[in-house]
Amino acid sequence: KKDGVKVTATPGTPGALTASATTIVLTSATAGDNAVSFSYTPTDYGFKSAVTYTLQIALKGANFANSKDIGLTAKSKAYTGADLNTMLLSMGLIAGNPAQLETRIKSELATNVQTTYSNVLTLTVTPYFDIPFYASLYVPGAYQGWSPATAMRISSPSDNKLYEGYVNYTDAGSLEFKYTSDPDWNHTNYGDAGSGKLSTSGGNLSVPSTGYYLLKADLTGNTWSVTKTQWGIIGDATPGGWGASTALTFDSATQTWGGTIHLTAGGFCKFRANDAWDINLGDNKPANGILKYGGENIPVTVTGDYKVTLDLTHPAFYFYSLIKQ
Amino acid sequence: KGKVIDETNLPLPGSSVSIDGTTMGATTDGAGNYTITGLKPGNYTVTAKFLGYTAFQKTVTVGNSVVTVDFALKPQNTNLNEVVVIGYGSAKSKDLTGSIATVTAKDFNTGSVTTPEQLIQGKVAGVSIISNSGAPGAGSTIRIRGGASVNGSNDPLIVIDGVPLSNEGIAGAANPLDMINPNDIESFSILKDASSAAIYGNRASNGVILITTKKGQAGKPIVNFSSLFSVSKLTKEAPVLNPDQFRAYIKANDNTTDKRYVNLLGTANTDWQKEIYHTGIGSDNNLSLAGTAGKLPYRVSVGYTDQNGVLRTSSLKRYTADVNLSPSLFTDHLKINFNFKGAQVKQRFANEGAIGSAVNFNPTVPVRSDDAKFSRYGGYFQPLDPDPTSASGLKSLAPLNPVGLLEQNDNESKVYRAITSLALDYKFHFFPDLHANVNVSYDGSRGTGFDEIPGDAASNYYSYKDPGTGKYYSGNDSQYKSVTGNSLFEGFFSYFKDIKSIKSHFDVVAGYSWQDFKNTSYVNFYTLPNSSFSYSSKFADGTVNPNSASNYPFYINESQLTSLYGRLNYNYDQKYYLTASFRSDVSTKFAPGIRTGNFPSVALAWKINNEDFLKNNPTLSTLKLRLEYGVTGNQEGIGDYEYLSQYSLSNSTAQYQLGNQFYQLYRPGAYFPGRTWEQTSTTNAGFDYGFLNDRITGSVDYYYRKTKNLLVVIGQPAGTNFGNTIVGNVGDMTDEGVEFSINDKIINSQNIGWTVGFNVTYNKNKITNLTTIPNPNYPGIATLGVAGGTGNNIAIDQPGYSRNTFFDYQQVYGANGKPIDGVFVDQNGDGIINDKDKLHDHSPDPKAFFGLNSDFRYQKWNIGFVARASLGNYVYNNVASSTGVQRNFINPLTIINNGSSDVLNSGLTGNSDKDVLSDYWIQNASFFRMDNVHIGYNFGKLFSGAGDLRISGNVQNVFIITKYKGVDPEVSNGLDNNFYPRPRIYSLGLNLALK
Amino acid sequence: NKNKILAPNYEVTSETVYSTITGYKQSLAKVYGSFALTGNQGPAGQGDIQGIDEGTSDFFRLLWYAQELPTDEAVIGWGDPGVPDFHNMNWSSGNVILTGLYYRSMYQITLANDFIRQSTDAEISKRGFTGADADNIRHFAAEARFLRAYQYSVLMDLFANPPFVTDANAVGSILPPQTDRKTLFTYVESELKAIDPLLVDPKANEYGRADRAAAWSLLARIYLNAGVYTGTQRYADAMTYSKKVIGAGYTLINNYDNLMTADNNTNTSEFIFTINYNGAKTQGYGGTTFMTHASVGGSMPASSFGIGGGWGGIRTTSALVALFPANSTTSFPNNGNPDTRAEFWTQGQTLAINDITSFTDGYSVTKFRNLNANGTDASSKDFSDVDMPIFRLAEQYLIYAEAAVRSNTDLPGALTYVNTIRTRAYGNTSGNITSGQLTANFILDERGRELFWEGFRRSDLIRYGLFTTATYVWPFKGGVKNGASVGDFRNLYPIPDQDRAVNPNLKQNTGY
Ligand SMILES: [Ca+2]
Ligand SMILES: [Ca+2]
Repeated sequence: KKDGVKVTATPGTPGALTASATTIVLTSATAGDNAVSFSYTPTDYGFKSAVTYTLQIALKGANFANSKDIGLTAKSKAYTGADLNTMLLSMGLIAGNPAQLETRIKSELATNVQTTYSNVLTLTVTPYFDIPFYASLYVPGAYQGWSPATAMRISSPSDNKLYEGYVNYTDAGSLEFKYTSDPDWNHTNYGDAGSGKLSTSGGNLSVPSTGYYLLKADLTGNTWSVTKTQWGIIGDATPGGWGASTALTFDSATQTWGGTIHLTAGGFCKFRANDAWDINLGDNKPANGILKYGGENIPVTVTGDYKVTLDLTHPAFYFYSLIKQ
Repeated sequence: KGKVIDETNLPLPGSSVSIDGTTMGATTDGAGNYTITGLKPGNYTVTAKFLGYTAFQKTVTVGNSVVTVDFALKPQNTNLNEVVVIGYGSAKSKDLTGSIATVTAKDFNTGSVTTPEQLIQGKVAGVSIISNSGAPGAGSTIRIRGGASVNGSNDPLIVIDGVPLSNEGIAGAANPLDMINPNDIESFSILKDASSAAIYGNRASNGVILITTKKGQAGKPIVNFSSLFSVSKLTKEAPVLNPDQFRAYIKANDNTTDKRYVNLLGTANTDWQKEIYHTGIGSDNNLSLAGTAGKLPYRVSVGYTDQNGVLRTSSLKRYTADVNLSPSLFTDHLKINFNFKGAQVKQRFANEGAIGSAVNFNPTVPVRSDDAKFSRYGGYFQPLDPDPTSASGLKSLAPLNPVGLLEQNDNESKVYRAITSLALDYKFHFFPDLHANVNVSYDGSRGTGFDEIPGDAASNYYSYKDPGTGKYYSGNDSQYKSVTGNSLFEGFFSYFKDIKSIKSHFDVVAGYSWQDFKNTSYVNFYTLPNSSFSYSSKFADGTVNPNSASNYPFYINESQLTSLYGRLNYNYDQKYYLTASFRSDVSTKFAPGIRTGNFPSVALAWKINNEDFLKNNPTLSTLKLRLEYGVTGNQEGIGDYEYLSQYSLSNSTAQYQLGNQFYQLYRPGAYFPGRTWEQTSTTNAGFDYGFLNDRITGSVDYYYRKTKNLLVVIGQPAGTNFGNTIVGNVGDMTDEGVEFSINDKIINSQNIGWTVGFNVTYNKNKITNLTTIPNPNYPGIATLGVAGGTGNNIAIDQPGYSRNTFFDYQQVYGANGKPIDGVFVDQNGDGIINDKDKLHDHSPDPKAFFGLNSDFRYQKWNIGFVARASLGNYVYNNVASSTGVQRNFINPLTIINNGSSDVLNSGLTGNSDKDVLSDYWIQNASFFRMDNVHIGYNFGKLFSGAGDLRISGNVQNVFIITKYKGVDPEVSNGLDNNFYPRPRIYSLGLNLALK
Repeated sequence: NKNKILAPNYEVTSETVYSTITGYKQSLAKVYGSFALTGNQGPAGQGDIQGIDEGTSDFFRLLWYAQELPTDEAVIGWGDPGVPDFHNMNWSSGNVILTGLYYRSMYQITLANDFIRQSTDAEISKRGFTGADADNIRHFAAEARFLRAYQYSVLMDLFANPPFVTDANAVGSILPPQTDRKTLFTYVESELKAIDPLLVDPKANEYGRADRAAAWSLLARIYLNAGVYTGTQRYADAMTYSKKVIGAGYTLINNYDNLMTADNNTNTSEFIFTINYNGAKTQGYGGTTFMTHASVGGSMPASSFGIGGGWGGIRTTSALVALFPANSTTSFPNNGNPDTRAEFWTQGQTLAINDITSFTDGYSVTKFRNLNANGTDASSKDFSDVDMPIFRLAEQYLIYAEAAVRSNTDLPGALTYVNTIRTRAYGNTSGNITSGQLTANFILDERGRELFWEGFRRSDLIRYGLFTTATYVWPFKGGVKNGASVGDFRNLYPIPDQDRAVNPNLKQNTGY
């Protein structure tokens, strides 16, 4: 039974927001792990209240403009590396680039009651690219011991039977390979039928020499091709301007192309292979660090020496980073 | 002065002795003595009366010395030694062992009383009588000690002159009791406890009200004419925004860019409540002739009542005739009592939907408009659909013009009822202590009525489209007829014996009773031109409405009750009393094999004031201790055939298409083969007291009542019955209460007299179990459906709480004291607000209720009042909850509505689904109501002593003191939703007796 | 009086009802009619289910609430008891809508059980039926078994572990035991297979009555969801049975706009089994009367939707709209959308929802219209003629396609069926997709486009793991404007308190 006393709400005393970590470097290897968990104590309105809590995450200094608002139905919110990464990328953060974020808890009791906010936590986060797994062919070869399960892949992002990917061949005696539909030899395996054609019964495919190759396959027309590539960076932001590529060097430890390059503010740059425009990579609009063939010029806003990285290791999903030194 | 004694030469305390033609009179004291002083010398007729006894008159000449006039009264109509009418007989009030209250004509409420129970409203402890509405002839909710059921009936059994009435309504009659003319009633006896009521067996759990009507008396014929003229006025309008407030509100809250709500505002200023209410005029005229013709005592009366309600178009006209003949034959060995009561009531029912509509309707538009747009609706302004292709032109789901609702509807009924009874009482020639009684009666009624709505009424405009022709039909013409016939045969023997040698008195009754209740209702029984019948209603143009077709021309419901009963009254030396009774009922409402119910009772009383140590003590003149226990039943509220498994055919608008054909469906009905009566056991302990030679009298009672086999809505395990709930006999409930009454003759002298009566009742109801296997987590059954939203209930029946306990969300308030819109306490702390956060709140039942009456007489004037109070009763203000929120004023369907002005205080939007179930709307409805203030003047003898004239003035529903924010806090079920308001009635009456 | 029976003149006993073939048919009509009607009096007055507003107590309206309101396809502006709990995703075991739905399904099962008991071979011969009449009664009984299996499949999907009663249990004879989802799956599957030969051949029965294709359709549907129900995928079976339906001679009607119109009882080429409504003879406040009235409000002209006035209640979220290409106009019915299934009313409506109680927030859906396909009026403006397909061919195409994609078999067949649907939707092949676009996620979206508001969405989102999780949020998911995830236990509805209070055999689903 009620005692007949009116329950009066007090102005909300906001709860406290804490985070399990404030500097978070995300990697695909730890994508499944818990990257950070936010906890908060309930906002106190002086009675047993049902409050709508929203976790707000925004770029530092934006005063929570365009914040990511995440409705909460529990007293804490944990993010796996993958989930947090997805959100960070969708906020425009660029993989591999550390950025500062602010987070807080918004408490709403009712539309006509003053909204309260918790303390603001500042986080430093570095996202990674969430590498999609596209429909793929496997590229077992001598270069890796003929094991489809651990082989490089070539992929078809729109699952339209057109596959591509980059493989580095370092040993002149190990230039042969095959395509397989599955990471084993028990399904469809493609070999050379001559004249650029593929055949399920043909001999081994091969590249003509060592080098960093773009591999392609078209299972509609049953064709294949290989193109050797040597990568550089070009553009009015680069030392060579739009006239000439500045070469990048291949780092066999990370399997990426890179270098320290002086870039100039107000200019743009792109990546291209073999000092020609046949194979060039630009960014998207707006820039998200993911490259596409013939994409947008990449803007540079601050002059300085940059650690440039071009990562072509994931078939059909290529990205770069420009980290100012 | 003098003394009044009975036929056994015992004094008759409490007899009234009056000087005809004056207001003077006295009541005999405990020894039967009376004194009247202050008479001027002259010739007087002195009358002594005692209930159940034949009044006796003597003519005396008063000079300057004291004149002694003694009376020896003879019992009326019966040889039994009785005064108070009890079940199957009567008893001297002083010999009663049970908790029985009696109210006789002299104590009846006065003024404009159209229905019998209003005569005793507020007069009896433990009896709550709340009129259901202010409509003419509307009945009342009568609860004796709170009633004993949950989903069965809580109405007491009413017995008129020995004929138990059916509890079923009569089609066309707002209230079956309004067929009885209150002016013909002599007394009420209310059997409150089980020991006195148990003789009525399985209909007695809610108490029994015995009504005795007036009979002929010995002596010269007396013509009595009374006439009353009354004026009824509305006391209070429901608080709504006035037109200017309304305009301001709509302008302030219309957030649409096209101002579509502001655009609906008009320029008129209409007080819709003023438009639907008016001053009601009424008159009540009664003429009776009573006396004895030769050896035949007779009373004949006719009455005519004509009343207009305060809600326009509501009215009642009643004609009554009452004939009573009570001859005695064979030297009084055979007494015959023949009674005929006939009544015709013609009523017109107003469309009470107008009450809610008047609260809601836009106050800035006129009642009528000459605009051609409205001519198709009879010229009444109606909200229109902006869509030009709309067929009816009316804005769907908008309220309709309240005046149109009233005026474009003619709903009338005409009901005849006749109760004919013949009672024979034969005293055996050779064994005069033994009587044989035979009672036969027939209570028949025939109600007919029609409900007509013209073709231009918006309420039924274009209500049907012929799927074949595409033609629209409007209006309505439906008729109904219902015939009831309740037959009674009753035979009982009674035996009484005084055995002086052992100071004992025996009084034994044993009898048999058979009663048949039959009701036949006809639905829309028209004869069509081709001489076939149609069981359908028609549209205004006479076309038969195919959707209204009934599967059967008539529906018969019948039940029978056969009973055996007996009672023993015994007293030893008028000090120690024992009453024991037993009744066995066989009811056809139950399955063969489980039809018989047995209802025993026993009561003990100790009349302490007849013990030597108290005898003749003038200070404590009466003290009687009583202890009673009894078992009663309740079969009302149970349908006639609920134990049977039956299939019923769906109606013509509930068919299903298979192939190209539509089929009416055979539905197996949910049923309860073990259906039985509710059984109530009551323990009562109390005492009657009298001080100062019974100038102050009264009684105190404590009772504890437990009902088992409670008729409640119970869930059926899914998959086990053809319904998920059924009214079953499961569960227990208790009522516990205390009643206290006191009547004080403060002053009682010749020129001046003042009496005060006060009673108080405390009752606590608690449901203790509602499931077959007691289950403390039983979620309960939602009750009290509310208007606003769809399917909301504001109360619950649940173990541990009283019936209909409000069950709601606890509103949270801001620092400014106003409710915060949509914010409620999260009772279970899970961070979400859902139905698990509802809390048990107050109960609609009062914790205690009070009756207070007083009469003051000074010479030829008398003035008095009757007041009632109620404490701790709460009401759900449904008028405010459904209309006093922004969502009602700015209706999302692009309608603007008026509503409760509480919206200006609360600021509630109504957008939360929980708003309507907020405890904000549960309001304390404790009240003090001045029911009646009356003043009378007695002219005394007129027409050379042949006539007596008295005139009186009366105001009913004088004022009410309450914190409740709605129109009237007195709502019997706690749900206030636009009920017909109780008017204030001013009346002027005259009473002329001629002999 | 001890044994006297006073019987009503307006009700009859089972012996009278089942003495004629007409009586059998009228009883069978009740078993079917319990889908469409709320009681014995249209539109309301003698309800079957107590404790809930009668107008809300019909099967499809309740199912629609439970399957659509907690999803991205629909919101409702009303505060009727228990209704806002769905988009808030905070329903409790006392929720009156869920209670009503549970009892409605169980009620139809109880009716079916009674009918089956009255239609055994023993009863048929005892009552003297022979020849065609006896054959008909046997068909009736098989159909009652189908309806029972259908309702158990609904209970399996929503509540997982309902009480279990069959015709073997006489009314009131036992306190029903609780079954579990896996066991129930096996029961529904075996019943449907058992009655397959007893039912009339596809398209050979009367309109509104179940045939073998209806049983196959239900099998295909439960097989598609078998992983959810039992933990074991049954895609091959789903393909087998959807293929049987597809091969039984059904074709899509030409115009998607005419699917849910007043005269859609003529859509028998596509409709496999329907709930039949009629504005003159089958009246109620649920079913398509609800769909056609509650979806109209704001500035929508009611008469253009064949009704006297809208109830202004249900709309959709931007998430459903986003499944379609962009609109190019605001004109009814398709707003210039190349996909004609994008049946939204946009005038005066905002795409985004700020206030869920405001009808004009969110596009309204014009898919259900109480007008004949040619625009003429239906039989009533107050009650709908629109029949509600429980099974239609397009769903079977999508079941086949999804099972094929998920099991990576017959992808060309799957693509053909999806493109058949899309060709009808676009009026030409311009909307057709390539094999590369045919992914499981695409089929979820395609189900949204094709089947929205037909009572599938909750089950679909659960099958895709999207119903409760943070992987996919939509406006007002979990009662939060931007959407929020809720506890996974909400993938099941709770067993209603009301039944648990009277049936101690019933254990509550986890989390409630
Ligand atoms: Ca809660
Ligand atoms: Ca239809």
